Amino acid sequence: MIGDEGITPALPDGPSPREAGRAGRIAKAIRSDRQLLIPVAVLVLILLFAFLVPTFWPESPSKQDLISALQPPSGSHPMGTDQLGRDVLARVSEGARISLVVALLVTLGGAVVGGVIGLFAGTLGGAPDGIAMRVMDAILAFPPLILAMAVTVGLGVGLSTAALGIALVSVPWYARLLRSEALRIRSLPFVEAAHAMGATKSRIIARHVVPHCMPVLAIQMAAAFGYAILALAGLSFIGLGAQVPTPEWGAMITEGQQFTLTGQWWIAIFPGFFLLITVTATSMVADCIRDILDPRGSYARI
Amino acid sequence: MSKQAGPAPGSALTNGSDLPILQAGGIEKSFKVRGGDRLRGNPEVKVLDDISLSVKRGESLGLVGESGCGKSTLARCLLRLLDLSDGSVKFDGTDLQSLGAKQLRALRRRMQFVFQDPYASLDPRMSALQIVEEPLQIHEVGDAEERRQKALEMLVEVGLTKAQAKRRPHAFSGGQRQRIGIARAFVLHPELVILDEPVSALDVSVQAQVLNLLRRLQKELGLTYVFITHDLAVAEYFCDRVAVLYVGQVMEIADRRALFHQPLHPYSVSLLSVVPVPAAGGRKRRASRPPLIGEVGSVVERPAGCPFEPRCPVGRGKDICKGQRPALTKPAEGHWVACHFPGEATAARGVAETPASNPKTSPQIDQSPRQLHEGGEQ
Repeated sequence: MIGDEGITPALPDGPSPREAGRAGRIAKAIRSDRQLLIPVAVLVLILLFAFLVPTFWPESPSKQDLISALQPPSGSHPMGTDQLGRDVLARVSEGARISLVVALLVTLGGAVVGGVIGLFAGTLGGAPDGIAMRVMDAILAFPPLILAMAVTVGLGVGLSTAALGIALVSVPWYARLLRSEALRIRSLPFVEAAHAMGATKSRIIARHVVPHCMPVLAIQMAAAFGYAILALAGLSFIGLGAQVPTPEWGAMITEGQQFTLTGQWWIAIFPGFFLLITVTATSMVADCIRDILDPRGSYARI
Repeated sequence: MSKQAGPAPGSALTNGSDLPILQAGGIEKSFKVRGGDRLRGNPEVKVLDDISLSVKRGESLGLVGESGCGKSTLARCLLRLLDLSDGSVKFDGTDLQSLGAKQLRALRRRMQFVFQDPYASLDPRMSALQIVEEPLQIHEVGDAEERRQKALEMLVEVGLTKAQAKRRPHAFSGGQRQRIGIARAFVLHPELVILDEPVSALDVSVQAQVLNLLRRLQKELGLTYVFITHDLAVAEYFCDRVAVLYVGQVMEIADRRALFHQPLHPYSVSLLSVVPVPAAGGRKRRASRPPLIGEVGSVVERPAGCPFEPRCPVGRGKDICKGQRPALTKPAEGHWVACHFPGEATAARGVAETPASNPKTSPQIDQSPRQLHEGGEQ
């Protein structure tokens, strides 16, 4: 078994295909997978609709024009006008901006707060872990939407308190997820190797644990994003979220539903349709992101 | 049985004036077993039981033993990656248990660890260069550019090319990964490196390359190694001295040549008998030794006497072996053994003085008859 100290034949130089990076892999997956291509295209169109329409569309989402109230879709108002003569197209576009931005903030907020709690609980262990996780269990004991409603009512009805309620409800999921990831990663040999090198605990978390949590976190966030849009619309629909005259989709559906009975269907149908396709597209993308980032199916482990 | 008193065995081997770089005295390590009886609390399992040994500067000390004998636990305890339950470890005269977290981290620069699994011990998200740079960053060596240069030089030193430095671990073969692990441990120029089965996960041909690399680096950098292995052929090739462990206790410590040609402990004798050897040369010597019977002893229920007694060809059933744990004694200079009947297994079976299994690596055979100590009554 004793030979000269030879060199194992080198693999060909240059970056290997997998080293093209995660972004490259995602771009490739989008191009080659129709299941992903369609929802991504829909999401891109919704984004364009939300942020490009105000740049060229002359109507304002809040300008009232009682003379042209309750007009059906036409050339000058492609989605018609509501009972106060406001242009529904401009309002649906504004509603898209509100839904996307608020849902993004809710997702980020929940992920950061829940993620930090989970990381510390998983890394520190002992009493901090026990206390944090029991608090999370307490939050989980409530039905999510009921708790979000309670927070909204308690803090004063409005878009921002509704967002806060939804974010709070999502915190325990992130915390539990990242705690289990931190526990798993902490026991991996390369973490022990960093410890043996003399790395501090905070360095190990920042350099080794956090990067390895990211795929799982991204999967959870993608799923939570669609839920946030839906929950926000739901709270607004029952009058706990955005208040008149804010053109939030859920609130618009509430406003428009009485007119649907008398034949003016366009006031509620258009925001409802956009809500449907946005949430459907985001959950389809979330499913695909899960498949791409986690091909070994460790999602099932969570 | 009382603990080993006085200096740790092996410390007075040749130049007793030299301070050993690593000195372990009476190490014990217990783990709590989960799921024990709620009323009585979780039972403890003593994985290491009163281990004393010392490592001289510049040598390679081998730790050998069967699976589950505590080799890896001992390695981690020696660097205080695990806290001891009892006993002490002194690195260059400093008691590691007495150090605070910050001092210990600073001291880790001088003692490094190479892991068994060359894949799992490298962060799959980091490039080879980043992996080797990390210890330099941790100990704030130079500026970013200097660190880069040093890491690159180290990678070249272990036989990788600069073009490969940007690759991640999955792009390398097992042997190359272990080279990265070695580069990471050696880039800080430590004084002591603990190698936990560094070649066990590798092909035999690659094992030789990595062992030769380690030996070259030891010469160049003046390093001290503690080399853990279950492969006796590797230990015989690589180590200056070898300590034999059995269920968390030291059975025998001796120079390589003494251990492989004149083992005194029946366990060492049996262990050597189960090494597969090429037919030529080795058969006569090793076939004459008693084979190892039975299962490895349990660390959960430690016997009062010698842990090897149930499997021992010499002491099985003897009252003294059952009832009294043998202390480490020194029947020959630099040769320590924990047995009531040291050398009996060898003497009874009449070990033939034939060449070692690998004449290339140990050309000189110790032909002088060694004084065998029969009686174990201290």
